[in-house]
Amino acid sequence: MCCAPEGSSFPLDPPHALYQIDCVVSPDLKELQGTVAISLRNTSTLTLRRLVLNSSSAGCVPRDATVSGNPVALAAAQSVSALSIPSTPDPRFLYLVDLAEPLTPGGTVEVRLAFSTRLDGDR
Amino acid sequence: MLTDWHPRLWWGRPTHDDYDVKVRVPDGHQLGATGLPDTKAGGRYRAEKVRSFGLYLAKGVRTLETSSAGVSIRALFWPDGEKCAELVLSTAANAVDFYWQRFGFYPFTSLTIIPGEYDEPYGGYPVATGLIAIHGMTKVASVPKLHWQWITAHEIGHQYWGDWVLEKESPGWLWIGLGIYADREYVLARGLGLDKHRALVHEYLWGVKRYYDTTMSLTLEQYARVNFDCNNVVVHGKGFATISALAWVMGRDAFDRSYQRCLREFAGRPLGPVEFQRICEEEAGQDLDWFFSQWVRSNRYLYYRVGAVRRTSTGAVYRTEVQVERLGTLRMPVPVEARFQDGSRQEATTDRLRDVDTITFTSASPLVDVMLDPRRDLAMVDWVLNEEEGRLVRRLEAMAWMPEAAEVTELLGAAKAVGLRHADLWFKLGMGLYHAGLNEEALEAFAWPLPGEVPWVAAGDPGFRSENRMRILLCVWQGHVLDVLARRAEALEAYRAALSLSASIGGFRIRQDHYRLVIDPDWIQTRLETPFSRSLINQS
Repeated sequence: MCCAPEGSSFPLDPPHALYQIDCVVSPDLKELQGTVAISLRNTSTLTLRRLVLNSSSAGCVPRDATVSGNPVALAAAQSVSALSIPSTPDPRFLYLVDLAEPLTPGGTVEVRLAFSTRLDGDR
Repeated sequence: MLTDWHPRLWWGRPTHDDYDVKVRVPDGHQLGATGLPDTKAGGRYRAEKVRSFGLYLAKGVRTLETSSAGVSIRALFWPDGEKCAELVLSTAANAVDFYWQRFGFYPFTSLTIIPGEYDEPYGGYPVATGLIAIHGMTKVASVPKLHWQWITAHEIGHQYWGDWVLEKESPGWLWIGLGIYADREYVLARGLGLDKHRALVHEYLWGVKRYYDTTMSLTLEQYARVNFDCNNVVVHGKGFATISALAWVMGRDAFDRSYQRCLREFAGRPLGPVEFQRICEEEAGQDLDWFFSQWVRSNRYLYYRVGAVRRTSTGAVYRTEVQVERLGTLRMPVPVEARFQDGSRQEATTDRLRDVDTITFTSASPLVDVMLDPRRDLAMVDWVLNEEEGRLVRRLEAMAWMPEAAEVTELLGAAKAVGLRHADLWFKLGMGLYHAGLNEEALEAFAWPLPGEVPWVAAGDPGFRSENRMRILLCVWQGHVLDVLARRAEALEAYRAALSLSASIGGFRIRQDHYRLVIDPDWIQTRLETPFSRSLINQS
């Protein structure tokens, strides 16, 4: 077993997650709102102290996050897009979620969020 | 169409995840999504080990369904796209079955085909796992049936490469090349012809002749500076050309083993050129760095040609010595096929370390002909590149369509001196000279003799049509300028040549919007009756 250094570290073989999503598209087709429960078992050999959430786009706003039932703050990783790396998310859309307890290998955690996504014309 | 629509954990790279999604949509709307719909709970979908979960929402689309090899397949389509939907659905069922048999599995339990956002048959793309879009489905008759069959098989191939095995690097030529290799297997097995694949290779060869840097392994900074159509020329064109050449070099069995290993060992994991090279080397049992360093990590191009052929005979034994010369910058073995009068054929392979290799064939019948790369596995350029021409190409590409007289005159001189070989750039030069009022010089550009008296691409090649379209334009504009110069008899000759070329490709239509001009057979026919004059076109 090894420990990740402080900050965001990614395991070589990231664990799979289960996404349970319940959402509704507004009658005017302008917005999608919903909740997502992300269940994760740490199948990697790395102890995780922080998770990184990707809201995927400017139109997707996550809120009301909890980790294993406890509310957590969502902090945007960066306020500006520093470098465009193909197939890598814009850092503005990455949110850091500090875990109250490190997630050791074999441990489980559930992250719950509400979110709303703007449905633009080009979507 | 929604792909990036919900918050997701990020691990520094794509991953496979499981989904259980319930979506409520406004009344009257139809939903397409990754995964299998839950028949008991409307709007609920489940999917396992998927790269991304996509949603498609539309009002007024219809649905056709089938299944193949245990995969549930749906096609959503606009009412006037039903014929196309039937074709792509049956092709999808056929392709899924083919891939299942060829690779031993199909990675997902469902496949949904949706109409792409373009109303023209521009191709398609994998929207998300198990969800592919095909453009222009309402215009099924506007392109050959092969287009729909190929694009369907192609996008399904990306379910293996891109969604099952994930791409590691950008630009992602590897998953594209391996995916196209899959659909080439499909069209070969079904006898559908290789026109689409030759078109992809043609894009790459065109890019080489355009002096673009087609190196595939780029730093982020290099990639940011790319200013040509890298997606078609490099990612699709050279990506597939590289895989095709590699498969030939390794031999089918060793390449197949590598292909299967990648599918097994990189399920849900990113595959990059380094890992791919390692697996290919292990399966081939040989060092392949000479191949990857040239095709992937360099801008070298392949050009070999048959040189001297020496024939001798002793009694009934014929001996043929064939010299094969390297003219390009890339060194690799090439297959050489000799055909003999009695119908027999022999094939040999050159040594990549020799710039001129001599192959000897012994036969019971005299030689008829020799050709390189008889199955066309290799993307072979047929020009020796010339850096001076390359610099001129850059300048001409950057030149405005309505340039200053001094600039375009100087470029005409440079083009003549270097023997510029690009029809479209001669056309651009001619238009620039015409705009500057330099009629004699414009005529010289439009009439410049291009490589070969007939188009240098073979009639069956994908570039044939586009090259001919440009040559038609050159003929038409020769006619225009000759009319302006009051050389009517020569103008008529040029118009007739344009009409003849037009008939050979089944007609054409080109807009020149800055002159509010549409050139098609009707326009040319009219010019046979009414001479062209500058007042006929409006410059906006």
